[in-house]
Amino acid sequence: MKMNTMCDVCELNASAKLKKLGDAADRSDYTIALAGNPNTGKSTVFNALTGLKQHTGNWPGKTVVRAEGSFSYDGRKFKIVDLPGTYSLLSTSEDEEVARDFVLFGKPDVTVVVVDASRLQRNLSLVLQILEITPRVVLCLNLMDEARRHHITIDVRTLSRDLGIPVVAASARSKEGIPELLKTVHQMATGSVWPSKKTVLHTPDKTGRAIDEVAHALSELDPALPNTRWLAMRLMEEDSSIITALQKEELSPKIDEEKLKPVLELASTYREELGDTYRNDLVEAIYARSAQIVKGSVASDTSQRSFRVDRAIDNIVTHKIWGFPIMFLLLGIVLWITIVGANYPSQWLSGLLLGNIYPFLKSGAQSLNFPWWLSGFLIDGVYMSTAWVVSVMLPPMAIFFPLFTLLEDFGYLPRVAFNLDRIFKTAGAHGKQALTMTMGFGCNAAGVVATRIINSPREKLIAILTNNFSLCNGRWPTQILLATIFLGALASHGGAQVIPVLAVVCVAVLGILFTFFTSWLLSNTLLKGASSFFTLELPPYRPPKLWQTLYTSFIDRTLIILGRAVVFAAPAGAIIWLISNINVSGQSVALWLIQGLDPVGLFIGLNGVILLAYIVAIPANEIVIPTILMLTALVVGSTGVGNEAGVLFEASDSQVAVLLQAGGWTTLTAVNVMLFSLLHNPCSTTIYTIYKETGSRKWTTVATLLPVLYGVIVCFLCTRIWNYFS
Amino acid sequence: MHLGLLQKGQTAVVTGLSPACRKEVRQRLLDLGFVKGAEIRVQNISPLNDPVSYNIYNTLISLRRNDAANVLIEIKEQNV
Repeated sequence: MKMNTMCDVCELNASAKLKKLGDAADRSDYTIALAGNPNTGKSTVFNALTGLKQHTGNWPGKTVVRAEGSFSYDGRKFKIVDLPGTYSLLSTSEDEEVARDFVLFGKPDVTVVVVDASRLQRNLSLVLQILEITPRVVLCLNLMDEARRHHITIDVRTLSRDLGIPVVAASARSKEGIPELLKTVHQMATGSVWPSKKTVLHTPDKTGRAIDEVAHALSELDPALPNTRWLAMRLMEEDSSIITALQKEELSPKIDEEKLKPVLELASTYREELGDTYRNDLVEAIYARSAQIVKGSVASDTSQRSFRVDRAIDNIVTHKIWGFPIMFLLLGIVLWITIVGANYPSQWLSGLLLGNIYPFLKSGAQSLNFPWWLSGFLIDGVYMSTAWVVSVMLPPMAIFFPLFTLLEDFGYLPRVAFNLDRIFKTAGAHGKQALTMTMGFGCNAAGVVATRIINSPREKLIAILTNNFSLCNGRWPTQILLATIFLGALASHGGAQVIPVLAVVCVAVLGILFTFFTSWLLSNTLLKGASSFFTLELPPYRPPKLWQTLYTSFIDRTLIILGRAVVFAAPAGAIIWLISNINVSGQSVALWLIQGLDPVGLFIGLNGVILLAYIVAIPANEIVIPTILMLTALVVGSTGVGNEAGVLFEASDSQVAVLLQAGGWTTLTAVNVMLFSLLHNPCSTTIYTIYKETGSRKWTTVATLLPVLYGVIVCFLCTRIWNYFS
Repeated sequence: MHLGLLQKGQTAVVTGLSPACRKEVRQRLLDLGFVKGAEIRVQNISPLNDPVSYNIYNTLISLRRNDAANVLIEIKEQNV
C-alpha cells in the first residue's frame, strides 16, 4: 500500500509547475474535458486541478451545469471543463447531451475520464463509449484509497495496454496521483504521448453490420471524416443534434442535407428492423468488453468483507422500524445545534453591529452635520436592517449548512430519499424531492436550485412549487422567539424549555405535510400525471472531510445567500424608515396602511401590523420580527423601547412580550403568526430563483400566491377553532 | 421471473428487459447496468416497502417495485 508522503502532497513536487488560475484565465492553449460517472469524485479532481472550491456533494447528479476552470502547467494554459456526471452517453437526457456534445463538438485536446477504482467494470462502460468518439483520453483511476480498503488491486499497466490509453491511479481527496495526472494530460495535449490503438466493440451480427454499413456510407461521402462509427451509432439513435450538425456541414464540408438523406434512410431502415435489439446488443457488447478488460487487470477479494460496514449502516438507517425515527432524530439534532449554537454568535454580532457600530455611526453623522432625514434614511433604515439580517441570519446559516453538508458528504441524504420515496410516489412526485425539501430547511432559494437533480420536468416543477413549505433558516428565529415568549409562558417551569422546541418542530412537520399535500394536489390538478420512473444510486459512505466541508459550505452557500439577502434587506430597511416618517394628512403612511389592513388582519386572527410587516419583509423573512416590533411601537406609542419612528431595535424577550401585548397580541396571535410564517409567499430571493429556474411567470405566480392562500385559510380556521373552544 | 419478485438473500442473473418496457425506462435501465448477464441481489428494502435497493456491479441502485418488474431475471442461488 502506497502511503502519501508530505512530498507527494507538497505543491513543490511535480505539480510545482502547476499554477492554479481558478476561472480567471480567458485564453488557453489547450482544452481539457473532464467526464465520468456520478459519484466518482470527478468534482474533487476538478478542484484539485484548478483550486476552485466547487462543492462536491455525495449524491448523484450534482454538477448539472458544466463548470469551467483553468490552470497553467509548465508554461501552458489549460482550460478544463467539468462535464455532468453520466452513466452513459447513449441516452437523450440533458446531462448526457451536454457531455456528449462537448466531447464531440467542443473538440477537447484531452478528455480525462474519472472512474471509481472499486467499481471499474461499471465505469468502463462510459470509457469505452468515449473512446468511440475520441482516442485522446486519459483514464484517471480515482478513489484508489477506497479500492485498497476494499482489497481490490488493479494492474494499471495491463489496463492501460488493453484500453490503449494512459491510466493514472489517484486519490484526488488526498491529492495522490494529481501530479502524475497533470504530467500525463500535458504530455497528451502537447503530443509527446499518443493513444496507441482504438478499442473496437464487437457488436453481434445484425447490429454490428448495421453500424458498419451506416459508418461506411458516411466514409464514402467524406473519407476524411473521423469517428464515423460513433456518428453511425448516433444516427441509428436518431440523435437530432448530430443530424443537424451533419446537415449544416459542421462536421464535414463534403456532407450536406441532400447527401445525408440516403444515409439517414439507411439508418432508419435498420432502426425499424432491429427495434430494441439494437440498443440491447450495443450495451451488452460494451459490458462484455468491460468484463473482459476487468478480468485481465483487476483482482478483488470476492468475499467482499470490506463492504460490511456500508451494509451495516444501511441496514440501520433504512430499517423498517428504526429508519424513520433515526431520520427525524438526525434532523432534530441538526436543528437543535443550529438553534442553540446560533444564539451566542447572534448576540455577539448584534452587540457589535447594533450596540457599538450603530451609535458610532449616529454620532459620526451628527458631527458631520447630516440632515436628520439623511442619517435616518441611511443609518436607521438601510444600515439597521442590514445589520439585523446579518446578526440574525448569518450564525444559524453558518452552522446549519456545514452540518447539512457533512450529512450530505457522508452519503446519508440519498438514504432519506430512499426512505421517503414511497410517500412522494403516492403524491405523484419524485423521490429526489426529499433531498431538495431537506435543503429547503436551510434556504428555499438553495432548495429550488437543487431541484435540478430531478430529471422529469413535471416533478421538478412540483419540487420547486412546494419548496417554500420547508421552514427556512430565516423563519426559524421568528418561530423560536414567539414560541419561547408566548407558549413557554403557558408551561410550568420544567416545560418552559421543551414546549417551545416541540412547538417549532410541530410547525416544521406541518410544513412537510403541506409539501406532501400540495404535491398530491398539483399532481391531480394543474400538473396532472403519474409519478415517473425513479432511479437513485445509493453511493458508498465516505468519511466527510471536516475542515474542507466547513470551508466550502461556508463560502459556497452561506456567504452567497447572505450576500443576496443583504442586497434585498437594505432597500427594505429604507422603505420601512420612509413609510414611518412620511406623513400624509397628519399621520405616517405606515399608520394609514396599518389601519387599512387591520380589519383583514383581525378577521384571520392576525392584525394590520403583522400584514404590513409581511408585505415590507418580502425581501427577507429575517426582518419580519424587527419590523413587527417597530411598527407595533409606532402604533402603541412610547413604551420605553425603540423611541424613534422607523428604527429597528434590539430588545430583550420580556420587553418584546410587553410591547406585543400592548399591541393587542394574545397567545392565539402568536400561534397564527407562527403558522403564517410557515405559510406565506417565499422571500424575493426565492421568488427570483423560481423565476430563473422555471422561466415562467405563471408558475412563479403560483409559487408565490398559493402559500399565502393556505396561510389565510389556516389562520382563519385556527382562529375559529380556538375561539370555539375557549 | 422478474426483479420485482426477487427476495432478500437470493442472487439472480439478469436475462433481459421486458418487451413491454417504455423506451426511456429501457435506456435508463441499460445505462445503469441492468444488462444480460449482470448479477443482482436485493440489498435493502425501504421502510415503507418500496423502493428496493439492488446491488448490481458493486453499486446500489434503488428502483420502485413496478419499475423493477421490467427487469427479467433468473434465480442463480439461494442463500439463507
